[in-house]
Amino acid sequence: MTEGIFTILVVCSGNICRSPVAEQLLRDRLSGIAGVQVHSAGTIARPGVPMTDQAIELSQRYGGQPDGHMSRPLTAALIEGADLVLTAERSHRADVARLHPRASRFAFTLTQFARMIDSIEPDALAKITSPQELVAAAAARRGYVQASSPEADDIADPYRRSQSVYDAAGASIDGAVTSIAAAFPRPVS
Amino acid sequence: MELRDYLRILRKGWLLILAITVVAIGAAAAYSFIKTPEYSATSKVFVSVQGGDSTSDLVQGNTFTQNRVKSYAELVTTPIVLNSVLDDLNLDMTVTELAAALTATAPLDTSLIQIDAASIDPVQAADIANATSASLADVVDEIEAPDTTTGASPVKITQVTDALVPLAPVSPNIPLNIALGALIGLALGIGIAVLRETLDTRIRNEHDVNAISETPIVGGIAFDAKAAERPLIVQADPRSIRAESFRALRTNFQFLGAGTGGERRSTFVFTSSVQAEGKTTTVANLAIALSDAGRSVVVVDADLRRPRLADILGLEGAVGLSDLLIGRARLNDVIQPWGAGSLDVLPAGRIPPNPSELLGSSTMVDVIRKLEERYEYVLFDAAPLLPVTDAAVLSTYASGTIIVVAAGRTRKAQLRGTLMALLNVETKPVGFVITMLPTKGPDAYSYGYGYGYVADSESESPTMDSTVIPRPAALITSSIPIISTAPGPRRGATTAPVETETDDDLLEDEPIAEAGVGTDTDEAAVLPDEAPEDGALDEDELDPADAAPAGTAPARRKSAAKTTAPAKASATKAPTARKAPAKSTASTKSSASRAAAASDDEPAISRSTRIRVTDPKPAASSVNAQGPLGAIDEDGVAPSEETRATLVSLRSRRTAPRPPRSTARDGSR
Repeated sequence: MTEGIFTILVVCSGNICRSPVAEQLLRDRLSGIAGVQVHSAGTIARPGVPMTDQAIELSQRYGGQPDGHMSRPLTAALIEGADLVLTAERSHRADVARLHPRASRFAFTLTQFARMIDSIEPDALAKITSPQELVAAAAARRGYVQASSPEADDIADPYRRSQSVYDAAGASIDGAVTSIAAAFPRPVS
Repeated sequence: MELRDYLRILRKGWLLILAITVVAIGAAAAYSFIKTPEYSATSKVFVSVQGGDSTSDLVQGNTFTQNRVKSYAELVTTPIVLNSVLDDLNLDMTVTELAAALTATAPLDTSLIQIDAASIDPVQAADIANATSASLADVVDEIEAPDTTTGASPVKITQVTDALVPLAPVSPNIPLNIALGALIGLALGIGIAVLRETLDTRIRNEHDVNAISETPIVGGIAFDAKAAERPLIVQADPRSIRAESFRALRTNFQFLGAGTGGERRSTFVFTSSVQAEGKTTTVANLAIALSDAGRSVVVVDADLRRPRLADILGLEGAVGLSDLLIGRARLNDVIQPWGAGSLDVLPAGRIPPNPSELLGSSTMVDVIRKLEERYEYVLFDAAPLLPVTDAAVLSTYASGTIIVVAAGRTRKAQLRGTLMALLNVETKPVGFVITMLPTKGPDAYSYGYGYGYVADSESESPTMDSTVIPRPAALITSSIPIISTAPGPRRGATTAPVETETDDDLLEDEPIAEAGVGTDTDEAAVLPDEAPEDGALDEDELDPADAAPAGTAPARRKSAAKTTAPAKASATKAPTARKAPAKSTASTKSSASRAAAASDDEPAISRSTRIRVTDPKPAASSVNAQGPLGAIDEDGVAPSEETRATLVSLRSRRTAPRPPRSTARDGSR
């Protein structure tokens, strides 16, 4: 938690497909906002593995900058340094909480977080001035809006799967990131 | 079974009864259609005696015929008559068969014989009747003829009514058959419905629970088919009946929390007999309802086998209680705030291999104590009691155990087993919550609805508080002073925690009695207006040992009994006490002290001065509730021998004259 910097950590399994794509899309959509940094890690990642070709293509398709990404494993320190942890699946969210129990207050799955944000009343959303407040508001919405099914909070792992699974993952990530970016408070400066 | 029970059975089984009745009617109708129609023809003969002109002869003749007519009627079905009928009509039947088809009756006090012939052929029926009449006339003529002379028989039989060919069959009688079918069907249906009810071992409603245990039912939760989709009904649809029943439960809970045994009760374990009775949903909704009312609540998922709480509340439950118990995490790290209110959640965490040992560990006791310090209510969602022992272990640490009973699922034997399991660890439940109750029909929850509260903010008002109090006696016991120590947001000006006097002080200190106890007691009692039912306080539902720490309970109980004594003393000194109000009101230590002062001749008010105010509003209302409170005194205090003895000794020490009313009251005992 660097002073003045809001850190978003995106987590998936290998840190070569879903989390880098989400990271790059978030970075792209939030690029206009100062003081926000995004990075990613994988729960079972080996360090230094590049993204898959399909993931690179996916990232570019939605406007991300996939150059030079290398995977890295998730550590407690990484979570501790984050203000918001977004995971691809609920199991990753659980891993995050196990590594750093306090993170259960600010760890969400990507689609869950988007759903929480979408459920915040526009009036209440307009009053939010900082990203920290947004996370708190989203956390307070947990339990209010149930997912259509528990699986709806997950983004399926496309690794070594067909292109259609990649496409579905890309669409989910893009939809969630769009929601999050739209609600993200822009500092009045 | 009472009449009401039968009515309930009828309401419940009306469909079955109707179905069986319809089937029986159908069967009767089908039988009527299939059965071959039978016709009946009737002829009548007149028996007369010939000869004799005088009146006396006629009378004798008449008597003779009347005596004979019966014999002639019997004669009809004998072969001597029937053989010639068979010959005449060329019938292809035996004498016996023909006799069976014939009925001869002699109407009383007449000389007539009626002959009915039945046959599937209407013409044949008429023929048989007529032929039989003719044959009977011949036979009688022959039999009665005097054998010496050739003279004619004095008896003459004349056919007066010829049998006509019947147009309509006599059998089957369709309306009669159908009526019979309906009657039998109805009886059968009701019988089966009653039998089904008698053999039903499931708990269907609060009556069934009451029949098993006297522990009060503190809540009834309406069934909702969509409960799985939206378990958190209190916030998903606050206006629904189901949400309402959780708010009613909350109200009762605030009474349970106000507790007994001198210690505020804040820790409650929710368990059930078997799985899937609605524990987690109940706990979660109750917790939300309590936090809506401004209470600080923590709900702990103590079901370390199949935790569901975090899922229902939409939280991440990967770390929680189990991590805490093995020292892998700190309390502050694993407790998660929920929603925007004052509700915190402690999920179960990783599922351990030894949940019972973990829950029984001393660390668990520490955790509970820590939570009790921080929150007004600590609610545990525990595993079911019958399959595992976790909840029983937990219940020994908690101030109260609530058993969730699913209507239509839990069996009576299971509930008994659950109570036994608690008894084995020497605890007993403080209340039942019945879930999945039908909202309509014979088993519908009979109270708790129809109070349409305007908003949650009203939840603390006496009106709301008084809506559902199944058994006031369980909540406000006659002998246990209720002293709440936990600070609450709503307690306002009357919350300053002050040490209450020791019992000896109360007994020794004369001015207490003189000036009305209100002045010396910091917090006074609040009893909701309608809570005290006459005589209800006689039954001491709550075992003090259950509610209070074992060591202190008896002492407290005793002290409470003693406390009543000075209070009465004050009543006997009413003239003195009447001077006190100005002083005690001025002190304004509590609004209830005013209540006590204003009702200086109502011992019950002063009796209850050891109970602290939790809400100023009811305190004010208790001034107006003198009547019922007086009733408590009559019923609740009088039986205690100890109290009486103390009272007598106190009185003997006093010189002031007793006011007439007290004397009367004394005399009435």
